[in-house]
Amino acid sequence: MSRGRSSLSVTIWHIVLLISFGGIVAALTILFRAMRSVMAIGGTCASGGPYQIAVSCPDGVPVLLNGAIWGGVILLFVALVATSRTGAPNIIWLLWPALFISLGYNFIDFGMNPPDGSGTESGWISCGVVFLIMGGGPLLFMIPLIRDGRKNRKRGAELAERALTATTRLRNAMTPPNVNVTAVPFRPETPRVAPQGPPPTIVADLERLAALHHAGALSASEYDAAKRMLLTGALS
Amino acid sequence: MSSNQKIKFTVLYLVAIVAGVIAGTNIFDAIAF
Repeated sequence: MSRGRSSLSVTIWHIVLLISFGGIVAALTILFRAMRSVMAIGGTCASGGPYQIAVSCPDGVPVLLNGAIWGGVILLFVALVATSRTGAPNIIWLLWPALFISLGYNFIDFGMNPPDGSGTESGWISCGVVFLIMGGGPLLFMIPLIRDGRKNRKRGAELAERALTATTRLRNAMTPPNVNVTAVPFRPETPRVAPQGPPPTIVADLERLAALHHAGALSASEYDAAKRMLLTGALS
Repeated sequence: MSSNQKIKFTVLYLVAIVAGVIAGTNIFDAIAF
């Protein structure tokens, strides 16, 4: 019962991880699209408040930006918990490069092709370069660490295997052989004497045959046949 | 981590990424435009 409940709990956390990580990606996508929509009208906009607004934001963009930022932050914590509960590899840190590289791409793209068609916008390009460094720097920094981590994990697994083998050998060497005395029933040794030569009665019969043969009562052929019969009957 | 788990989590993350991009695009298009 508890095992089934545990399995159900793990399944639920997998679903939570799927939804939360997908939600963060959705938030990044909304940020990316919202930023492009604002940059398409000059890069600045405003909505609401008592002031006169020079450039109004596109409809729904302020709500989407706030929702994507705060929703993404909340889902980030949910995804972190779900990652630890499911034992999933933690790739949440990749969201940082994803955020800054995608937004940096927007800066570079609109810096090279500004909406007013005036050549290039150096301010946006420099922002784009800074964003790309912020996003790509950790990525370049993390890749060697991940590679080293894999090597260390592999080396650690090998060392653990060797230690386990050595421990098992040591334990086997120190443990006396397990002799189960009760499992072996007691059987007194019975002396076994190998028969040495024919039984005494046959010897006597052979002696009698030989005496008859020497006395001339039995011919050589009769003596041989009788002796063969006696020996054959005695040994069979 | 076994190879089965690696495949499982890779599929999970890929599904989440694709679904997230599609959902984010649709939400933006529905609300902003």
